[in-house]
Amino acid sequence: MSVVGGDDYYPLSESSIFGQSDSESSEKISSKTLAVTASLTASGIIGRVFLQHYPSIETVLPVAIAVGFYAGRKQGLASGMTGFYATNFLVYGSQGPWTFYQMAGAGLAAVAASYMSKISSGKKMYLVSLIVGTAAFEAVVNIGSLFFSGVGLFSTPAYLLAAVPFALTHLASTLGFGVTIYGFNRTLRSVYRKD
Amino acid sequence: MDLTEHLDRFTEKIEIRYVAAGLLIVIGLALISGTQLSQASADGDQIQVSLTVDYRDSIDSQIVSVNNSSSAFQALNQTYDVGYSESSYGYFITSINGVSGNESSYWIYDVNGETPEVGSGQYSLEEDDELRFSLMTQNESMEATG
Repeated sequence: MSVVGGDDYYPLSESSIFGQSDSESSEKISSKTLAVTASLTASGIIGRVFLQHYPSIETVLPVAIAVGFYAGRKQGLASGMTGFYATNFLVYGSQGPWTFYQMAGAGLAAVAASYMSKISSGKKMYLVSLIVGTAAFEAVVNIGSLFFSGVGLFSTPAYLLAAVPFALTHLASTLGFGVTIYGFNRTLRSVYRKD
Repeated sequence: MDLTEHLDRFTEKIEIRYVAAGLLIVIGLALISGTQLSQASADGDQIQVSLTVDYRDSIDSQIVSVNNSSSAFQALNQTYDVGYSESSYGYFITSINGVSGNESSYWIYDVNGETPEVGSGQYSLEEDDELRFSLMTQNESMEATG
């Protein structure tokens, strides 16, 4: 497969997108890279705790998507899952069945961002990965929450419809924080350049 | 390379326009969300109840706004000139707008047509409750309270 379009794109094979990259499969992750990922994740955790009273405005997901995009799926997955698990100890509502779906949703978003960065590592694809990642997260969390909320089959459409404004706010929030993180694009690229 | 040089190299790479644009989006969202939250909070602090006072020869009825979980007595006291005495059983209403009970009639209250088992000072109102204070004779009050 060849993807060409503008200076953000470069030809790729399917195996290079969906296969395990050399850097992730065999090479060790450097302590410098890990430190940056940990710092970003910690920023996401502090941000979510700080913003807990603002519905759907949070920082863990955009950080997870950014780490997935720049550092790859392993670190993205770790950042997203750790971020939601850790913050749920510190925010109103605490742990519950939703923690599992939040971790799964953030992990999926980070992995999706990682694969999308292999198609293109440019600005447009980064923005698309923020949108796709938030959509994936919202789908997992909202559909997942149907299982423990006791909502009947007939009430499901109304239940999901009621979630739309919150999902849109979450999307705007993720884009806002995601674009902020993109301001550090050159730094992140130099840090996460193949170790 | 010292810390200053590290910081200089770090800041050189930051693209301020993206940081500013992203933060503007987030601050805008937070402002909208914060306004909605404070509005919801303000709305949530007040409830509306229907308050009726039956003086026997006339009835006065109105919708009043009270703080959430206000007692029935508080709703009455903030709306009318209420005479009362306090006892270990709570407030005993002696007059409303100058209309007093006497040895054979008392001010009795009910909520949504039922007489609560607690005094008006202990009854917490909820949205759309229909609160009524009526001047009743002893027999009427015994019938009303069952």
